[in-house]
Amino acid sequence: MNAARKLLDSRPSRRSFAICALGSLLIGALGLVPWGYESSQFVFEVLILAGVAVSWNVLGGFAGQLSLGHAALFGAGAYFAGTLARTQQVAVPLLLLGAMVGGVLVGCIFALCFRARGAYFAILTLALTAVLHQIVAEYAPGKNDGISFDVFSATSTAPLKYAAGGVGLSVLICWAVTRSRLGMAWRAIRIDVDAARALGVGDLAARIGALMVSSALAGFFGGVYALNLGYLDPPTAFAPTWLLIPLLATVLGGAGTLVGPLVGALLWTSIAHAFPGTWFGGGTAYILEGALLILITLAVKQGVWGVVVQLWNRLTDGSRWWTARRRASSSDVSHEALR
Amino acid sequence: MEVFAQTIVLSLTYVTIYLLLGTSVSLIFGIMGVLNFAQGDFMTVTAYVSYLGVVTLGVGWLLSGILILPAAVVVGVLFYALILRPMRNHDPELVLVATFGVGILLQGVVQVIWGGNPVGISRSNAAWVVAGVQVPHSLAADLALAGGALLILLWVLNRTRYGREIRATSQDRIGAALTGVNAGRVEFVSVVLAVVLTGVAGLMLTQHQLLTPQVGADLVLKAFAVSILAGLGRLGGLVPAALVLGFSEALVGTYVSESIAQAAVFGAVVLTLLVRPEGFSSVRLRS
Repeated sequence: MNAARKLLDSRPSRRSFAICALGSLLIGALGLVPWGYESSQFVFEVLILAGVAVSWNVLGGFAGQLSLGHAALFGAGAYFAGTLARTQQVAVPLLLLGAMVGGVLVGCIFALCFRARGAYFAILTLALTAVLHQIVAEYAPGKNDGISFDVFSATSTAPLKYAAGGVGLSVLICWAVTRSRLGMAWRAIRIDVDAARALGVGDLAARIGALMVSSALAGFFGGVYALNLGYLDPPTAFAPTWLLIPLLATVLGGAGTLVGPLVGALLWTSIAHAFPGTWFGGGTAYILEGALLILITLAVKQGVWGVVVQLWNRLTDGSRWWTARRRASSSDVSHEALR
Repeated sequence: MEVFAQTIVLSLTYVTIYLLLGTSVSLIFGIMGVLNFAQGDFMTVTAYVSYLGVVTLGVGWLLSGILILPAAVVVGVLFYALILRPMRNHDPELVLVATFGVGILLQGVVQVIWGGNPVGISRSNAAWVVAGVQVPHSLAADLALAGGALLILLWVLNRTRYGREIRATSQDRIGAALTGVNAGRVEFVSVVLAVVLTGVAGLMLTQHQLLTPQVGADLVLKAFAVSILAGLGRLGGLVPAALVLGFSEALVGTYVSESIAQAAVFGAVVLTLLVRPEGFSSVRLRS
């Protein structure tokens, strides 16, 4: 056993908590570094993506419910924070609290989707997101034209601080929850929902718990993103970006691990920035991202972070990793894949 | 009344595109159990191939369809051999993510070759006027193409050995294998068939709108809507499902608002999945 392995799947222990707390503090400290303009944009993008990815990871990684609905949770947070900022004079933390409440409220609607499983669950969350997008475009303040508000000045470093602090706290929350009874239930239903039910794990309660944690986090980062942007329209808030990239970044980094989403977010944003274009980057970035995803899902399965951990283990085991065979068979690989 | 009729006539084009895409999605889901998010991007690729034929090679729109056929077969074979077959025993959700990867990869390839800006062929606006309603000539080509493609599919499914095997496999995978159906061949044939059908949709698309690398990814959700309404993996109710969806989208869009129309389409999907997840057709892969 070594530290990295412990961080991944050890039982509650001081050492693992210490490592996680230190990591969270380091992430939070990113908000205090005096970045230049260019790099602060990059760091902010990484942090927002990491935050939504951590949120997606709670539902899609730890609890194993493949969600395509995070754009709606993110958008709800963004719209709640934006509308509050436009109409009320309240402190930023309260705005972000509003964003989290917004995320959770929309999360309650998404609880409907638990009627379905697997691919049906995924497509249900996707369709519900599309409905909510159009409803906001028709009835929310500003309708299709969107709303604008003025919370942060253009040069303010506060959004970066909120994003960094938020990601740090989210990681700590994930650490705590995955080691609680609820987190154990997530692991059980992810591996085999029927077996878990037979053993008396309340799968619906566990899934709803995951959804609530996930939607509060997604709402928070939606709020930070919107307040930093200063304006909001439905295509921005509900962009497919927000349902796709967190999912893809998490799978890239390693779904169901604490560090995976962070690694994935950093990797994804770096690729997109190396070949500038949209959030996905230019054409070359698309090709790289697509190829990486195919490779990960096809062969590596536990994501980039999983590979790092594996290599680390092999090195510290004293065995040579390049001679060691992969022992996992295809049946337990699918379980491993989401760990 | 004229507005009503005109809306219906114009929506028929997209009804046929949704129908072809939805059939492909359903075929792959029925045989492989995979929800293929890359299906829209297969359409994008074939549409760009047709654009290549018309603008770069100058072969004319209908003839560019001949270029699409090998392109679609190549895409289908690669997709099956490199993704679906190796991932046969993987978690279905992991395969779903892999199809996202394929889609993004294809969008990247299209963007690198043709650029991210909208491109298109010059389209004719020629139309017949029937009782005050404009019926574009292109609509006739669409209906003929889509009808022909679907008839061929029906013929394959109902009259050939492959079709019988496909139907048997989609009804009962293990049972079919026990009676000697070669599962690998069935999967291969149906995936290639599905991509070729998508290619026909791509050919039609070039004739109707400007192409961007994301055009297919935007349309594939409508295809999902159609196949879910009919029941994922079932080919029976696809035509009525596409008609209902396409007409209601166009009519609500014309008379109420575009946002409400989109909300209605996806609201129908949500309701179907909540109330009757198996869809509204009762036959599986039968004509």
